[in-house]
Formats: sequence, structure tokens, C-alpha cells
Amino acid sequence: MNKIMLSLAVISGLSLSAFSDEISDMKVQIDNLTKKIEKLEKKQKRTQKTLNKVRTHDAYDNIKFGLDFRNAVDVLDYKNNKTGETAKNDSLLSSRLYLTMKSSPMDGLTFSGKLAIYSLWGAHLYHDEDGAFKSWAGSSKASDTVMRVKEAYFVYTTAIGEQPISMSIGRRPSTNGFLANYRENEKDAGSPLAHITNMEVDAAMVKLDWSRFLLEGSYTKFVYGRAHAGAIDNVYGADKDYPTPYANDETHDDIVDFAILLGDAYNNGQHQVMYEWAHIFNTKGKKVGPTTSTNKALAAGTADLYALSYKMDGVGDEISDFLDDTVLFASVAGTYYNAKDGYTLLGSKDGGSKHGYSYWVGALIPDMITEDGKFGFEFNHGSQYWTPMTWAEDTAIGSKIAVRGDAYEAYWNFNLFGIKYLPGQIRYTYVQHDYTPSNHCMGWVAPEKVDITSQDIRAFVSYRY
Amino acid sequence: MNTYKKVALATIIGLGLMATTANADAAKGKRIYQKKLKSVCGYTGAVFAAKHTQDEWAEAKENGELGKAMEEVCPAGKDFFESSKFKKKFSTHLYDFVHDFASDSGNIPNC
Repeated sequence: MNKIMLSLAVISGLSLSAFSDEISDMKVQIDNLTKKIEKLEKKQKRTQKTLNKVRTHDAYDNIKFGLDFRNAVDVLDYKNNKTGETAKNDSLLSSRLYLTMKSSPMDGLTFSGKLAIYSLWGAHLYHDEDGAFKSWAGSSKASDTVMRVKEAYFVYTTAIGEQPISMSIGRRPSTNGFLANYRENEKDAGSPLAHITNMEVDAAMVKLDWSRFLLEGSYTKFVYGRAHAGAIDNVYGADKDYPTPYANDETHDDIVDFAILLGDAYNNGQHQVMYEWAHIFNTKGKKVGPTTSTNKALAAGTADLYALSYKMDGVGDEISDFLDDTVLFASVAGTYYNAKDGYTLLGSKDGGSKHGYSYWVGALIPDMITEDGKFGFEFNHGSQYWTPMTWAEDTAIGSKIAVRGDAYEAYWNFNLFGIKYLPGQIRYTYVQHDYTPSNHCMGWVAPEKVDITSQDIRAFVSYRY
Repeated sequence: MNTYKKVALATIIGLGLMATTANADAAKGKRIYQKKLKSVCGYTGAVFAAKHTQDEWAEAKENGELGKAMEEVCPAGKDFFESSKFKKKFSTHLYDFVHDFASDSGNIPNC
């Protein structure tokens, strides 16, 4: 028995010794593995860091494209209430494609572009000069390659000392500006105040941020650009013995330049006050005397446009979801056309001036039917000589903001099927013209008393991504 | 308006009425940042969003720590990030915004 016990004790001792060796081996292995894991973790962190850097670099090492493809139907109705004349179009069908571009090769430097095609279904490609050649055939017949540049500009932002400064050159984002974006169901507004400026402009801009010194969000943009190059011939132009390509022909009209000052006076995200003043040199009017084809559309003086607009994005502070998502706005504006001696603007006397004013109010409320849908209501009033530059405003019956009379509008912005990439709209615009409608550049036309009503029901669906 | 136009209009209205899918909205997130956080944090929403990569924002959201991650970026916004309104109402829109303009998103904010 003792021998057996002794044998067991010896075996146990030997086993324990063997286990102890194994445990210490395992400890060493675990330590080694732990060190390896730590090394791998460090390596993985470094790899992740590098990957993030590469992804960040890669993400900006390209041009980012976006799409806005809109199809619309407009039902138009016009009536001259004095003569009883009427005109209408039961279905004006249109497609508009925006191809947007953005790139940023380095911090503080960005390029933005927007190429546009805006066509009527079944319309002539080039007005009435092309017979049976329609807009829809333009991309399949070797005839022309036209792609319109709606916007193309770069912005460089830096700081001089502690003063932030930006500068930009190009065709600016000057359409569907502040407050006009709602009636287009666009979330972001263009740069200027749409009450007086809604047109493409080629210009240079310097922006100074004042929020360090003045009110929150305040800044000013100084813009200088050109709307008309004057009368010039290119190399294929006039057949002369002494060709002078691109020289100004001083016997015709003058260059039209403009200077604009605009910005935010205050913007805390809920309350936003914007201002703008624009001065146009050599604005088009006519020589004093009867209107003929040769004495109109000439440099006739200057125009000054000014506006002050206010927007409240959300009423109160978290009173209710309805009020949080409600937008209210109001804007006042004026135009002052000042003719030089021997000329007239908007029917002014020789060297005289004409002053016009306008106000614009609007409200957007949640539709309470869809998740993000909103109903919008707007009212505009303009006086006899109110003449803003809103020719790019996308209203088939002509700019309602430029109305010399009253304009009423209601619209419903919604996402089709609730898909945010398919924004849509149904809009009704009613315009009462008390004076000659102002729907394109025509400073040589004196606004006369009229009684014309124009109506437009528009429905559109877009694909935006 | 003749009959087929009325039918077309009614169809569009009907389709719009079906539009009830709830969406998080990056543009709404941007507005919320402007209203609630810009002055508190002291920088623009674009700078705020670019403090993390898309994966990092997504991971924080998955772990239920979006408010914490945002608070680390903007400590002054602590009260806002810890409020029930943030959790119930604002966080999904803000997440969409920061994810869209994260440092590796490639998206360039408007100036």
C-alpha cells in the first residue's frame, strides 16, 4: 500500500512539474500573443489613419457631379380686360436638366458649375428658323453642340490677419436668390436678393465677413461685372478692308457694367436680414423723340435697384413642430432709373428719372399631409415704374416679382412618393397688371395704364441627386 | 382645362398624398445646426461635420453615442446634445447632415 501511495505521489509530482512547465510556456505564449495583438492594433490604427487620409484625399480628388432633371406642365391663361382679348395654352410641356459640378483641390478653394438645357417639348430647336427641326432631334442630328453654362465660378477663401476674406470670379449663382427658392421648391437660395436680381451675371466678387465686429452672421459682398459687351465684331463679323475684331464700335451702344453691394445684416439661422444695392451703368433706354428701330435700346443713363428682405425660419423657439417648420418673409424694394440729357428711361422726360417701389410677403406652412411637404402663399405689389431685373425668374407668364400691379401665388411643395430625390410642386400664379408688364429688358418702353390678367397653373416633378 | 389635364393634375395630387415616407433630411440638419449650434460651437456646420469621417459618425450613431461624439467636437453644446429634443427630434437630421459633409464625404458645402 505504501509503495502504491509513494508511486502515486511520485507520478503526481512529476505531472505537476510537467503542468507547471506547460503553464509557464503558455504564459510566455500569451505574453507574446498580447504583444503581437498590441502591435497589430497599433498597425491597424496607423492603417486606418492612412486609409482615412487616402479616403479624404480621394473624396476631393475629383469633380462631384449632381443632377436636377425637372419635367413640368404649365396651363396658361391671359385676358386683356379692356379689349376682351384672350390667349391661352392648355399644356406647355417642358424639361429642364441641370448638371451641377463641384470640386475642391485644396482647403479654401472651390469651383462650382451648372450646365443647363431647358427645352419645350416639340418646340423648334432654334426659334422659327429651322423648319421641322425640333428640340428633341438636337442630340441625334449632326447640327450643333450647344450646352449652356448657367453657372461657373471659383471661390478662394482665406484670411488677412484675423479678417476672413473670399474672392470669386465667373458666372455667379445669381438666379433663384434669397426668398425665390421657396416658389421653386429649392432648399438653397442663390446669392442675391431675388426681389431685384434674378438673372445670370458674369462678375468678380470680394466678400468680407463682419461677424467679428458687427452682428451675428453679417457680411458684405462687393460685386462688379458686365451685362453687355457693347457692339463688337468678331473675326467672322463685318467684311471690312480694315478688320478690327472685338473692338468696340462706338457708333452703336456702350458697354453695360454694374456694381453691386449685398449681404447679410444679421443671420442667426432663424432670423435673417439681407440687403442689396445695385448700380447699372449705361442702362438701356431711348433717345428723346419718336421710337424707331435705331433710337431705342441705347445707353440712356443709370439704374439703381435696392432691397431689404427679412426671413423668419421657424416661429418662436420649439413652441410646436408646426411653428418650427413655418417660414415667414417680407421684403421691400425700389428702383430708380435716371436718364442722361437727350435720353429717356421708362418714359421719363428728357434727362429725367422714374422711381418705382414694391413689396413682397410670403408664408410657408407644413402641409400636415406629407412628411416634408409645405404649402406656400405669396403676395407681390409693384408700382407703375417698378422695374427690377428678374428676367431669369422661372414663371412662364413672365416675372411675377416684376408685376406693376398685384400678384397672388399659392403652391404645394412635396416629395413624390415621399422620396426626397423626387421633389415636386403644384403652383398657381395669378397676376393683375395695372401697367404695361415688365418681363424683359425694355427701359425704352413707358409703362401705360392697362388691365391685363395672367394665370399659370404649373405642376412639376424633378429628379434631384 | 380639358378632361385629361384635370385627370393628370388629380393623379399628381394623389401621388403627392401618398408621400408619407419619413425622411431624415441633411438640409434640415444644416438649418438645425445654424439655429442651435453655430453660435454655441463657434464655427460653421461644414467645419463641425468634417471633424469625423463618415465611418466614425456612423459608428457613433450605431453605438447610440452620436450625442457624445458631437459633444466631444463641441463641448459648449453639452446641454443641447443631452436634451430629449436632440434625441427625439434633431439627431436624425443632424446625423444626415454630418454624414453628408464628413471629412471623407467628398461633398463641398455651399459658400
